Amino acid sequence: MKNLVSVGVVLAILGGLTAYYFQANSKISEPKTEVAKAAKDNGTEQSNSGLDSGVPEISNQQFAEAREWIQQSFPNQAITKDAVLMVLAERAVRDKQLETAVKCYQQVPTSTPKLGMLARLEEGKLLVELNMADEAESALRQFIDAARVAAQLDPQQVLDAFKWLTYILSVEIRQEDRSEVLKEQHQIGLADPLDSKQLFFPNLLILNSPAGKKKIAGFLEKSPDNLRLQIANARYRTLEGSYEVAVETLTKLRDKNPKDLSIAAVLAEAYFESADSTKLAELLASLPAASATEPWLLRRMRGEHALENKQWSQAIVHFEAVLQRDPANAPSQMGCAKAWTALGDEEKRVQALLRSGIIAEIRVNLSKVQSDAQVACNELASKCKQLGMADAATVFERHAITISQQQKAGEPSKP
Amino acid sequence: MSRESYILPLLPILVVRGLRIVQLVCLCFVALASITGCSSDPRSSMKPKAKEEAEHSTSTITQSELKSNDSDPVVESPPSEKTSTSSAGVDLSDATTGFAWHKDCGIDFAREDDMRGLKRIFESTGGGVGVIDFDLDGELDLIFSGGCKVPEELKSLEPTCAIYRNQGKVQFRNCTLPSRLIKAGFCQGIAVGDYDNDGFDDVYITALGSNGLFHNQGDGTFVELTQELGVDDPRWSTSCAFADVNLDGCLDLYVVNYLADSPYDPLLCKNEKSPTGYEQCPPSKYEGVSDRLFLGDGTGGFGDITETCGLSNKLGKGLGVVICNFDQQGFPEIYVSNDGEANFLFKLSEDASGRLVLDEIGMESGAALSGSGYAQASMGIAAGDYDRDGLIDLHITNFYDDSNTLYRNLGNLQFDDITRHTGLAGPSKKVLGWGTVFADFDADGWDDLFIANGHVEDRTWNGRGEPFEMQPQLFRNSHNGKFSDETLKSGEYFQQHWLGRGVALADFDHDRRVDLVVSHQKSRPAILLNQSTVQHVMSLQLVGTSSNRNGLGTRVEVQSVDGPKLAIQEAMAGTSFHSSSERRQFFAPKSGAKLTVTWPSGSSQVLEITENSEQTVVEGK
Repeated sequence: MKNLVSVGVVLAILGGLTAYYFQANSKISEPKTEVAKAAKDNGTEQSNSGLDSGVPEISNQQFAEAREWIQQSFPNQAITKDAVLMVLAERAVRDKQLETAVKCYQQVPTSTPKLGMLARLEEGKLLVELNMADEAESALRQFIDAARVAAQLDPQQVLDAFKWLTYILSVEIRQEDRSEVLKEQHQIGLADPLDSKQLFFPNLLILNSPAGKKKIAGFLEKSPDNLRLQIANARYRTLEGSYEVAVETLTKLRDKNPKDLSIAAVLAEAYFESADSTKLAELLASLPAASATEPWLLRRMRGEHALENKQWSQAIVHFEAVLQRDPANAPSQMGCAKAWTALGDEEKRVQALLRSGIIAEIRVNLSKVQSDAQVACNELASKCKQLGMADAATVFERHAITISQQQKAGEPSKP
Repeated sequence: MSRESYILPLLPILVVRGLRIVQLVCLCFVALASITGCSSDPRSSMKPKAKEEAEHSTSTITQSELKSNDSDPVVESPPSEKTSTSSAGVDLSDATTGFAWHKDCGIDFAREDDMRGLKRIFESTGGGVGVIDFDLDGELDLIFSGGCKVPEELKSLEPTCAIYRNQGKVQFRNCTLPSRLIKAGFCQGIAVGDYDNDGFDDVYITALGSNGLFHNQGDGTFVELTQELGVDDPRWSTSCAFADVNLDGCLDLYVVNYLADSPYDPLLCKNEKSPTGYEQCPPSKYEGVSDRLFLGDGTGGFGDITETCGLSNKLGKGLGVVICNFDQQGFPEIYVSNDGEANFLFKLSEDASGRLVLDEIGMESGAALSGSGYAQASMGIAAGDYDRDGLIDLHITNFYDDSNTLYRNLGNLQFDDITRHTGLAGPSKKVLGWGTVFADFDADGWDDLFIANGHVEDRTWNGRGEPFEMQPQLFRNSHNGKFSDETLKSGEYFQQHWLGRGVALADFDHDRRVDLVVSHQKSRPAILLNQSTVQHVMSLQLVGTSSNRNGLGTRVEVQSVDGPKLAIQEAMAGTSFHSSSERRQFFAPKSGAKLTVTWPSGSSQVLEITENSEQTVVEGK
């Protein structure tokens, strides 16, 4: 009787909390529903009635209770350890024991059908919340890798994974890496207008947002020796005007990692913004010749340096290399305009200035481009055409059509 | 207008400016007009509320007059004992840039911005300040533009702007009602200029709604002629400037317009996280509007040439304006700072039929966007030759988390954003700038820079560390293309935090040190008296005859004995934000240097430097 009451109480609590958790996470995913569904459908897993979760924080009793709950909810189904771990993870989240939840998810192999991918996704999200940047990225990338070959997929989960991954890369100002992720997201047709803005106009969005600064600080607190995070943090310092701090940090990093071009790029920017032409020249002279694969920022700094030294043709070569990869890169476009002016090529000068003007207009109006903004998407598509960004124009036109269709159908906007 | 017609109005100016001992004689004439203007009793014809206010102001006047007569001088006497009368031999490296905050000046003006929590965008722009000697007594008076409850009081006739008469020793008295400078409504910018060349400066005040042109009658009173002269603009007007854009010898009027937003149905942006439930909408959510250009017709009237000159096609979100001959050729240019959009640089010319046309060349000039290709918030404008290369440069104030921008004039209407190289970028990222002015505060011959700062709204609730009120900034010119931040050494006012808006320059205490007046939101204006250990050698008041009487557009070059140009100044129209400065120019040349004055008419005069002097130079004399 006592057991029945206990189970009843647990069920009631779980039911209530399930509803609460479902509501709280309904925008992103419904893990409880997914877990239950997956547990129910999981017919290929071997039965494992062991009580050991593999997670020290989880007691045998908790394991047993979770297992029993599944049994009660889905009788006549084989119960797997992985399914139990998923339920335990959700309960840990409910109890705000995020580290425990992560450990539970980490016990579920990615290869476990449905549950494995879901575990990676949930693990990744929790790790972001716990400020464990590298681990979060790894988990989310594992999800995406698995998604590429998975027989069945939940589009919402895939979208979540991309969005969380691009969030991490945005905080870390890793624009090239983010660009690759966004390209893939667009290729599989799961991008919304907000994602498209990030893909096509990476340098027109605010790089050093207060939220980003706060998050990078959180990441660094957990991983103070993480090189990428230190580089990103230094870039935030440059962007807020704290040049000396940025230079000091980056110089130390560069001493330890002389061949890392990411460090060189951000250090070059710090020298540039603080108008230290001498140090910028020394730095650039110490680097290998420019390459197509080096960071955009470094290539742009080469262009800015050439501009300052009145090496107009060289400047154009560098800026145009950046514009090949980021056609709306405003500083590079302005740099080209200045160089063509100095070279006296009136036609190219006017073209470059016109493009600069269009990019400036795009930047100011980007905030209007939202998931439900059909008109703004069309206006942006038009500007993209003026800029010669045909792919971007097509994407935003498609967004506008999708929004229009959804609005007619009375549906909320979604990819 | 004939030269003879200048003689009588010129007489009081020459005497007051030149010879203090004769001042009293001529002041009888001027004082009579002043007293008549400020103590005539128009109350009998006023409505009850206005009458009550007038009675109150009279009693206040009496008390403050007694106070100023009885008390010790509130202003330090010119520190002649500690200044050198000649810049030669003075160690200018010790010149300081401190300011004394002159709190007890009689100015009790408080602007109403109707900040009721809706965060309507017009609640953030604030008002400006105009410096004027409206009664020609040799003391600089002040005009402040006020606000009101919107829309409830927009159509009220109660004056919201105020004019304060300087009674001497930098003591002011509210003279609004007696002067009849009655401007109601939600006012913004102020321009001061003698548009009819009668010797008395007139006033134009912009507003959210109808603007106001006030003609100075010469007897201490003004009369509003906005509708008669057809110079109104019912849209949201911000900065404005009198200038002679077509070089015909009389002043024209440029009015900057900001956004298409109705005060009766303003755009609101909700934010549930905000304590009031609202946040200010960004300018990108509004449509821009065109500015206006009224051409003076030489008879005291104006013609609206906005359409014919091509200005009506240029939609912007203008906040600041400066009119200056950047390339020293032909007509002056008009530079307008647009909020969040490319700034405008209008080049003026005449078409085949002699009609004035404007060609917008901002993008080509390099002064439309930042050096990185971004349109910036662009509120206030300072213009001056900070690097002494003979060309007027521009400093534009911008938003929080964005630096201000210094455009170096390269000649041929080309500009380069060199902010990074000047030391101004970093310190301006964590403030939001408004009014800004170049001025040689320490009299070392190089223009320094002042900036009034303050956020557009209180965002402290969002935990992002954006302050609401902010410190102003003072940057001293280091003579090598850079500036050093002297804010913390500049006095008590600079240690405090304000919602700074308009800024104007004036030498209130006649010590040939350039002082400041700053208008705020939520606080009274501040008068800052320059305490620099060095004073300017001389000051110059320009009086045009063939050129416009104010001498706007006149270029003054300081040349050393052996030839090289030391500095240039131009009597510019506009600058700062919503404000109008004194037009007297101050110089600190080395002995033996000379001044070359080139008037807009094309004529020029060479003057010898006369130390310790306040000179008036009349065109052609």
